[in-house]
Amino acid sequence: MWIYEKKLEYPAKVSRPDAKMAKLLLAQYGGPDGELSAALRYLTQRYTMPTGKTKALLTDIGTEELAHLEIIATLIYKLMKDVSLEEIKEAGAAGYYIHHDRALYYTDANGVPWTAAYIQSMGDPVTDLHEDMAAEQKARTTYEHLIQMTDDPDLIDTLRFLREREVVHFQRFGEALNLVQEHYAHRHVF
Amino acid sequence: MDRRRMELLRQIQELQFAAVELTLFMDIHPEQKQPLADYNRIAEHLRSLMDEYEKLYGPLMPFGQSTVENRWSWTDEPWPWQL
Ligand SMILES: [Fe+2]
Repeated sequence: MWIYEKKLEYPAKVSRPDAKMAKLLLAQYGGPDGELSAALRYLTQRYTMPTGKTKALLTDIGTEELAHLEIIATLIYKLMKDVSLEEIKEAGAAGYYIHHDRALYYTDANGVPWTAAYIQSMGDPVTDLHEDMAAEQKARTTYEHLIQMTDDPDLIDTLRFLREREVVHFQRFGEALNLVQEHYAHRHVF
Repeated sequence: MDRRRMELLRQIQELQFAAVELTLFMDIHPEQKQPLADYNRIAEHLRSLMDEYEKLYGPLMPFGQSTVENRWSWTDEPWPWQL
């Protein structure tokens, strides 16, 4: 089971309200390669992973992604909290405001709602781990795009942390893929 | 899976469920004293049972929440969905 811990994994600060960045950060909240997709992808694939180690890794990375989802939500909340309606209109976030005000909702940066079609669970651990590695690279690229869009040093610091975690996840998934391939190579001898 | 392990797990589930129920109740009724006393009694008992379980069968939690002796047994099967 899961238990909530009342603290963030990493500090999430912003220097100033910024509706434009809030809107863009939705990419990592409810977007295809965002943190919600990541968490749900790994936590549903873990059941059919073939070994204890790979079951553990998908459980643990899936859980860490939930912590990242919370960090992204915190950033969006803080960026939107004191923003004026004028700034919301200027940022092109009026449509979001009409449906959600300043509340958090799972959409991408263009307002497209989250869908399970963003993730896969094929039952073949080699296939699933390849998807996971690709997803981590896409998330890393998205964080790099987001960092290019702001000069807020506090926001950049948190985005850099999240970007670095994608690099580590990619590395661990790659190692897991090697383990799984060895596991099957060994089994097929018999 | 040995009987002692299943028994201990069942006891942990029962106690933790009581703690879940009390948490929800006190979220809305924080002023009542009896549920708080029950909660603390249950939390202490739960912690001692989880300690016992972890000594025998390995960690229940990752991310620094449980200490792990000798070797990294966190990855050991069975996982909950294999029981
Ligand atoms: Fe990740």
